[in-house]
Amino acid sequence: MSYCVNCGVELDKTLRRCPLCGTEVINPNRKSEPDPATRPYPTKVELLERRATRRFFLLMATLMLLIPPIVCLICDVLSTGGLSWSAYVIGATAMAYVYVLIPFALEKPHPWLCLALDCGITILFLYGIAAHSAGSWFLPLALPIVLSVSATVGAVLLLFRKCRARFVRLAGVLTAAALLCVLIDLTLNLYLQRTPVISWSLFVLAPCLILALVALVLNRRARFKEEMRRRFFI
Amino acid sequence: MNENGQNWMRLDNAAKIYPASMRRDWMAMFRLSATLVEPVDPEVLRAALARTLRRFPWFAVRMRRGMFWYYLEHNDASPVLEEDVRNPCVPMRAKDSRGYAFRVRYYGNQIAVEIFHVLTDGTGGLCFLKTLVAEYLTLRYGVAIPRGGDILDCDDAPDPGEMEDGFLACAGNVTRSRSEADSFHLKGTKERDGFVHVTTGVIPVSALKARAEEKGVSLTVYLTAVLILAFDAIQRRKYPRRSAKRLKPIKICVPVNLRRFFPTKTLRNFANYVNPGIEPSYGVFTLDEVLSIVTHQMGMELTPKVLGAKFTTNVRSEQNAILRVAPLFLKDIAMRAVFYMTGDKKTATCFSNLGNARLPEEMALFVTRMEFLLGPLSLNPVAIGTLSYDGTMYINITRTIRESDLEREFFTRLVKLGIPVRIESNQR
Repeated sequence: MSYCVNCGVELDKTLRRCPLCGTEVINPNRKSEPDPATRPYPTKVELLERRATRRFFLLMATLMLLIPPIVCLICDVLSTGGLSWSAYVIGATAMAYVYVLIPFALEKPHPWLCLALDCGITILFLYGIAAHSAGSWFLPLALPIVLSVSATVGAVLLLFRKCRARFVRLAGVLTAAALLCVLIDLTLNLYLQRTPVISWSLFVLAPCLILALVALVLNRRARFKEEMRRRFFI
Repeated sequence: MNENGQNWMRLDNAAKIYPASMRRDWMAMFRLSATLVEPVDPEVLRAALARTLRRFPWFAVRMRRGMFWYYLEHNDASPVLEEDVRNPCVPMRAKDSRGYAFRVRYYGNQIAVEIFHVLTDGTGGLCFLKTLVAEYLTLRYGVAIPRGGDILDCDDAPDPGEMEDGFLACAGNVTRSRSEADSFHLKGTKERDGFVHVTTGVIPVSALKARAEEKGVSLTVYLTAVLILAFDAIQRRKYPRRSAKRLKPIKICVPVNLRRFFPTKTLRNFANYVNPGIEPSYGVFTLDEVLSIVTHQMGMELTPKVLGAKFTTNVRSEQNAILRVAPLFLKDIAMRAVFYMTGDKKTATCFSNLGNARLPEEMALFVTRMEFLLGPLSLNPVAIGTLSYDGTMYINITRTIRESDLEREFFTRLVKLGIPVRIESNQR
């Protein structure tokens, strides 16, 4: 056995340095290094996922994403003398960034934030195209459709977070899909025929709603009540 | 799972703060381990664990978020059994632990359980480990181990009393203010990779007891006093120019097992704490003075009346109507703020002495060593957990910074007081 000359404590025979002061253990009588298998601690170290790897990947991806818009911008400026078609590439790259890289950059999943950002950037991009091409379709067509899709995704998200029963989720998805079709149909008819009527979406609505009802009936079991009680106890 | 046959249960009063305060890189954990005479057989351990879990249904749970509170839901997945690693109490990821809030690890002759505080406290954890080891020994060697005390019989049905929230059951009417001054804290270089250093001081209980009896105090009081003096010396050394007035109080958080004071069978969280300490600005204290201060401070606090009033304060906060109807994400923010304002800030470290682990003779033949280790604390870079077994005390100091000032100061003080210390460490 060895003692630390500095601290006066006895040191376990597997220690090479005193853990208290860092002084090296020099024991002329110790013939060989201790067998690592008999050390009181395993050799494997468990580490938390490092934040730096995520940051590093994000930085690399951002730099890579910068290449196409910059190249396009240079071509555009050199050939046309101004910003024309490259604006679409720049907008699309910005969309790709928000769609893919922002969810990755977040430490924890933030579906609501991502949904809001995705909705915002899509509206912005479509508005850009409409303004650039002097189109009149943005307000009556693009905006309502993007908002309807976002609201539907939001509703489904909310349902999936709050409810774990599979059949209720299924019923919710079916209803949401049917309602989205109705909204799109309505918007299209308003834009094309100037009349608020629904046509083809009825063929989607009817079977989806019936299937949703079937799913809800299947779900009516005792567990449903228990689930609610558990989720909402105060 | 609970008394009404539901497969979910509420968190107990003390556990409520832990999910709210946990971070990506930190959660309140502790570890208990037993070293056997022969290498552990993982398959037998797996079978023993499955049997033990049936008896401890409040361990077979996953933590979930409700609209207003977290809750524990029954978990049917088979618990993870894995080889031990060098750095203990790394925060658990639900996907790695199959949703469980504890994990069982083995290495050589050692069986260890690492438990998230939301399930139970040290006493409940020790009961779990003892029962697990008893089951393992029964399955592996066929020994008949008498059950009783804190070694439960896995053939019995779980007792609802063991799952009750002792705080709610024993709360009184009178509350007590929680406000007190902040304490001195160690500072140092954080390990970049989050490695947790463990330094174990192995001490013969007889030598320590002789010293403590000389002064007429308990082992916990004696060690707490030495610890306070170690912190005092570090503060004076680190801030030599700080005028006496600006020296910060040194207080140690000493958890108290409330089962000693209140009639409950609960094996979930049922502990409170006392924060004995000194005011270094008054001057340099001697060991005798600190022993007297700690003895009397603990004596004043360790009565059912005072302890009851202390935890009744927490129970009343939980029962506050406005807090109850606040959505969980708001509660999380509020509880995290309270935790950071009142938790670790008030003390320099936590010194948890689980006492003496006694085993029946039939079992003791197979167990050579038992240890208790606190996982890193949220703010303070050091934490101390001790457990005695078979005449030896194992003092485990967990540290998240590189500098080992506290260990050095504490253990060399014990050596100077005539108590032999043997040091082990997980140094890399």
